[in-house]
Amino acid sequence: LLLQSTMICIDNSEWMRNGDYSPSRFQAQADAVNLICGAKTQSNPENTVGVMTMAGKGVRVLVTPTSDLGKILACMHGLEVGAEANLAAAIQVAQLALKHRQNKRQQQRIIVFIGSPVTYDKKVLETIGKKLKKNNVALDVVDFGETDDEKPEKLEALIAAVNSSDSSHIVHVPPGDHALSDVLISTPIFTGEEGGSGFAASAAAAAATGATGYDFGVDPNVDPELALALRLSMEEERARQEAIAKKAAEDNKDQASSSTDAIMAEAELTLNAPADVDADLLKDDDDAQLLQQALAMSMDEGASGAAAVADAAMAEAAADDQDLALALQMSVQDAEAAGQSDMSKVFEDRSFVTSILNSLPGVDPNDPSVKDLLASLHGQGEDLVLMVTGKQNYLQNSINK
Amino acid sequence: MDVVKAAQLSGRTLEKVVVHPLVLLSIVDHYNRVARDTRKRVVGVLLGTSSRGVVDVTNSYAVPFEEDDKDPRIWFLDHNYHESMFSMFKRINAKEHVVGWYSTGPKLKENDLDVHALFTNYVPNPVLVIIDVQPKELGIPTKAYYAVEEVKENATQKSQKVFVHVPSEIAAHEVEEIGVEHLLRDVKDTTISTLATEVSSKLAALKGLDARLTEIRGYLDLVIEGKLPLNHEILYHLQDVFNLLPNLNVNELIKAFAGENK
Repeated sequence: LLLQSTMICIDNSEWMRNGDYSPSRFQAQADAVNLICGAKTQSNPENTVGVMTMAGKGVRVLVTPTSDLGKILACMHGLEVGAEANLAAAIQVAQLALKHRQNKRQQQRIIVFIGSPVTYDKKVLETIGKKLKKNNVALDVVDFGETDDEKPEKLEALIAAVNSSDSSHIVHVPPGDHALSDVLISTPIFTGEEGGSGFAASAAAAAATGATGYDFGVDPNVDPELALALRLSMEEERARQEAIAKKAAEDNKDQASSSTDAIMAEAELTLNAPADVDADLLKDDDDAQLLQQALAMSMDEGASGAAAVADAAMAEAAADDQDLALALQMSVQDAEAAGQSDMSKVFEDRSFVTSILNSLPGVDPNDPSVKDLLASLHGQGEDLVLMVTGKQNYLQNSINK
Repeated sequence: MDVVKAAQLSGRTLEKVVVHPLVLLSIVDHYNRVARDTRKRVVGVLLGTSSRGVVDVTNSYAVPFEEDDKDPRIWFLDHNYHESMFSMFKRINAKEHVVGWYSTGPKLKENDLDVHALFTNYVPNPVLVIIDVQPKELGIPTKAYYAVEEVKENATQKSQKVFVHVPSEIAAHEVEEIGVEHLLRDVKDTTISTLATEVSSKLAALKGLDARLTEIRGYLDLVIEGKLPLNHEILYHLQDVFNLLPNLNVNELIKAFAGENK
């Protein structure tokens, strides 16, 4: 996930009154800016975006780079068109604004919308481009609106001067019926450097509804490892939530309610970072799995870390024993599954339970707490969920010790 | 942003700017932190109160500011930073409003009018105080200005904003004076006797007077040569100064000073 700080330069010169993009150039530009802001902040919550005008009352910074989407969208309100755009000054001011970003590790990027003719010399633009390249600033140019003879060449020269390892792009959007934002979605400006198309697609779909396009906002075709990791952590979180719900209410099958889904959606996002690591290592062999356990434990603890480790522990154990795999798989699914009765019979077999616990790392069957657990469970063979609770709690406790 | 009450909008012209010692200390500290050995200047916001034509500057804080050396039109001041900082300061002392901004100059720069225009969003008539952090001459290190629309006589050009100088002074509340005295204890040398300190301070005062007289003379020379326009107000002030000088040629006075009273 790319950590970026972006400055968007808006062209609000008189040329923006033209209606060759519907409803007007300025409106189309505003929609595109909103879309970009949404996509950037969604792809990484630590991304910051700032907005400035190139014309109107002059080159002014409306919003300094911030991750607060509301502020960014609000400042676009009530902007007026007028005067002429000052491209060179705007790019330089944007560079200064990025210099003062709060998190120095963010990559610097400037996105320029230029719809009016470019009055500057090619030479001037190239010098500016070189300066940007020296300061490690990437530049994206959206060329729309007026097209005189030299404008595309000047902008291409600018991009060529800035470009280093294909970080800067230019998009020419000819006038027509399509919306500016739709054209931009498919361009590298949105897709960025890695798999951002999923985000952009879901951002587009989510613009009004707020629902995510795919299950977890990630297209499984684009990034299968991430999707797998998210699904696993989602299930893990769901199982944990179940356990907590059972313990609290002693109720029956209250899973899959919308609120827990929402909680899990948030939990899923926070688990993204460790899930990233998990995803990369999960498909490898046992050594890698142990490493991943160590990594997960060394990361921020709490239930999520323990849950990920528990997941890994169970996954590792599952690799060894087919029956165990079946048991574990059923234990993390909804208790409404028809296999419940089968499960309870399985767990009534005390020796089987012992063998399961033996194969789990870090569990000592001679431990008195384990013995008590087994004793209590033997008497209540049908209560599958309590078994799950007990097992999970024990695992978490043993890891947290 | 800041709700300015109607009384403050009364349009009273500024007559005086009072700067408190805390402000001077903060500004010097800001300069030392950021731009000590460079030729850059630092900029920040001034807080205080304004009433009856007197602006009382009691507090200040720095804001990120950057400008291009070669092109004065390129500058950046983080106004989001200022807004968040001001909301925090407001919780400490609700009576302090934004009254203007400061710059370490040491002189006025070309983009000062643009930066000044940015501050009119936060206060109707902001005041710019230039602090000279490395003063080479005697006298107070502050110079205060505010912007006024100047309409050219023949009304052919668009009216411009121009900076007008306003007198400033350093003053403090009693509690602040106690603090300043404490700090001065380290700066002053207590081994000198009081007579020596009085003589040295008299000497400094005379030096200051001499410097001002030289400046007045230089100004009058330029006016006579026609290089500076004639300004009646300044001449009225000078005339008052000369009128206040005592006439020592009167006989009674000479006798009173030189005669013996037996």
